[in-house]
Amino acid sequence: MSSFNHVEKIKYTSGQDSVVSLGEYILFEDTRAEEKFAVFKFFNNLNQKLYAVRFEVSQFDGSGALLEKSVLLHENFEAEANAPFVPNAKMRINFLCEKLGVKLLFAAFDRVKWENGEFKDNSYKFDRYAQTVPSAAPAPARVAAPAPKKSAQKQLKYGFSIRNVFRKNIAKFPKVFNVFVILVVLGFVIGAAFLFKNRSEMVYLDGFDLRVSDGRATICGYDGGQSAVTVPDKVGDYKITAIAKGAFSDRRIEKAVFGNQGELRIESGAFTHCDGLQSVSASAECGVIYVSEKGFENCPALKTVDLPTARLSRGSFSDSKQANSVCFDSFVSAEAVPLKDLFGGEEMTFKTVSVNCAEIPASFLEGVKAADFIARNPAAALGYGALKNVTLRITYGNWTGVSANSYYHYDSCDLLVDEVVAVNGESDTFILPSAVTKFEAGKFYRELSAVRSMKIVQMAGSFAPTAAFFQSFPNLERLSWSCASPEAGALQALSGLKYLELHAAAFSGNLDGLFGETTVSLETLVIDCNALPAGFFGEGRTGIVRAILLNTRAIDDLAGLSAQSLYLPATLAYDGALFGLLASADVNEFLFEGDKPQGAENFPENYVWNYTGIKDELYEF
Amino acid sequence: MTMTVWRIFCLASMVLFVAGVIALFVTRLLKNVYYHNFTQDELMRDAKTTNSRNAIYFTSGETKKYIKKYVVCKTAYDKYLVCNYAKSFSSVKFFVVEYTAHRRVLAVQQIVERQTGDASKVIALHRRCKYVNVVIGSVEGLEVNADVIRPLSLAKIRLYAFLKSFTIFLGLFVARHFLIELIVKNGAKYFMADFLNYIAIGGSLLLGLLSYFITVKCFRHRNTKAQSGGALEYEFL
Repeated sequence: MSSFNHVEKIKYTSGQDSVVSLGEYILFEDTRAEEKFAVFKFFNNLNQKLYAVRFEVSQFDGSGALLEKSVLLHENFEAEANAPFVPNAKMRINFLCEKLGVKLLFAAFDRVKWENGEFKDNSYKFDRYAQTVPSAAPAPARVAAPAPKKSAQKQLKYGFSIRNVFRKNIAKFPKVFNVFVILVVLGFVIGAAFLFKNRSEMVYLDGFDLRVSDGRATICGYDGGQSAVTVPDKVGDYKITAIAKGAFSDRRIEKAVFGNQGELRIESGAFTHCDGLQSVSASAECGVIYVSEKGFENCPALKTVDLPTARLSRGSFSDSKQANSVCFDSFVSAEAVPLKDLFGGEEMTFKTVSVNCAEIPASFLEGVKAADFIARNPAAALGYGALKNVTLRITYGNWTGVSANSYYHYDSCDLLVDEVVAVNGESDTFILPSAVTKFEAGKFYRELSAVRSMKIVQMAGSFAPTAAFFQSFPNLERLSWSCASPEAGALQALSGLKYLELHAAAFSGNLDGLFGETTVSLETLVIDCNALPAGFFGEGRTGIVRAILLNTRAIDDLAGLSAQSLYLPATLAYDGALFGLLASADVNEFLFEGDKPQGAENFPENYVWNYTGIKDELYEF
Repeated sequence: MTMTVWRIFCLASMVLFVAGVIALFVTRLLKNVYYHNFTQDELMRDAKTTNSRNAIYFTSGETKKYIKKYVVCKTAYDKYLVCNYAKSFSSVKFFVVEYTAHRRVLAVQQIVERQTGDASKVIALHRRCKYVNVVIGSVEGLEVNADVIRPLSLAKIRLYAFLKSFTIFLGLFVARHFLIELIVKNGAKYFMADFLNYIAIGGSLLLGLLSYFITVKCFRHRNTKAQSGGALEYEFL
């Protein structure tokens, strides 16, 4: 049981802003013992633990007079930060004290001391430190120098070391290696680029892939994307001389135009599989274009080939069978190639075929039909039957745009209108059509050299075989000629003539004059005329084995005739005048077609009557 | 491949290269990461003397058991730091992390002291240092914090190495294309199809791959050299 008979709790309000303030106190009074004690409740207003505190306590009586002052010290305790605490002790005070006043003198916190109104650190004197710092010139900015590892370890021995451990995460070797990589790779690329530039033949200009050499270029590819391609004479500084295999293959081009001024070679496969290609063309002023075999292979849409300066090869347009208009110069090889072999197609039909060949062989239009054929070379040699498949118009030699119906294909030759344009070199028999008015036999010397037999019917026009004409038949052995007035010496070139038929109503001139200075030995001479003129046989220089008269009605004389036999037709009057002529003829045997005249006797034994074997002696042309 | 395709590749590579460079700068994969974030220490007192301005801060966290407070003294030309130990230690190691005004780490100093008194030696700070955090390292053999800087993780190292190597490869690819177009000009199309071009690309790729492995190896080597208490990070190495 407590001896205190009076306990009073008093709230203390002043000095609350101090670091340690008194919140309230309790007065314990023992009136019998006249003792009074106080217990305080303080507040630690700092954010640190409080370990010691010293207060000055002023004691006042009931009237407020100061009774006494004392010092309250508490230490070796722990009060939490920002929390009240009650020291575990009572303070004896004056019994007459009614009121207390406290004043904080000292407080010791966790990391600081408070004394007389200010904080004091408990170890370092700032004033002293600040005064020792010299006011010197600005030192260069420095960060605490990172001590090397070894020296740091050494400094440990001396008790203090500072080391800057801040690091940027930079590994040096990878950086150096990366720079090395970059330099190596770029150096290689630059070197390789220069090396390639100096050695490479390939150049890409204006959409063309070019292989260049000595200022000339071959087109190896094209990716210009245009449907109408013009192959120029020059690309950049390079002259285009060739188009290589695959240059335009599988490209979507519809039209190809060549503008070369010099030679251009289109190699095999240059325009292969150009499915959309419809026309290829060049102007007449272009240079020569050589098209190799399969240069335009498999171009199914190709319709127009207009290359007037092109020289083609067999199969140049192989499998491009829709072409219907072709114009070119000639062929690469000396030998001409049939048109069907150019395109690889049979039964093709062309609207226009225009060529400039020196020779148009017989097989040129074989297997194809051409509506319009133009031979731009007027001196072109035409093969026998070459134009028989032309259906509409022909331009050849001096003939321009004549109807194809004016082309006549005879067994021996071809006529264009009335001119012999081709000769059948396969036959040894030549029958000259009557419609011929122009025949330059010298042009066909090669073919005519093979002719052994020739028949010249009565010409409808003005054409008259001359000596020059017959010179083209050096090997002629048999001639049937309907001509009343042959040119003197016309047959002088026919030294090998064995069989001669002359047909005319009447003759002018004589046999010697016909052969000129040439000595000929005829095996058979057939004279088909109404009247055999005097002196026809001349001086008899022309040797005759058999002389045959056909349809003759009158003989002036037989002077100069020297033959083995003489056939006399029944149209002659077998009378004394005739027999008188026969008596003077140098003929071994007289063959009479008719009967012996009645009443006539004593004919020579060399008179053969009713001779029927003459047909065997006449040559069938 | 046509020239158009190569140019498309070049353009794509250029875009990726720029993206890679930006990624390398933005992600800052090699940026230091710290065990402790910046802490604004409590200012106890800021006093101005004749030729200096002294600010006393209370330490925080586990440091305050050993180092109660520190003063940052700024004179006309220098800045200094002095720490107040809780008691005298036979040996103490602590880190002073210096921050700029924008609270970016400026420097980290490791201080080791033996037979200390109540205060440390004077520690010079960087001119640009605005704030300081003191982190206890070890006290009398007791390790509290082995280091304040975390070692780089292997994943970051690998990612960085890959990004850098690939970016370099892309840059070389673009540079190669431009050089070829510049030097070879009309023949560039054919150089692209030439074996030399593929050697250049292949070489770039191989060297880039080598660069990756070298980068990873060098960083790992560096990390293992600076071994500290980040044991968790090293489990994967």
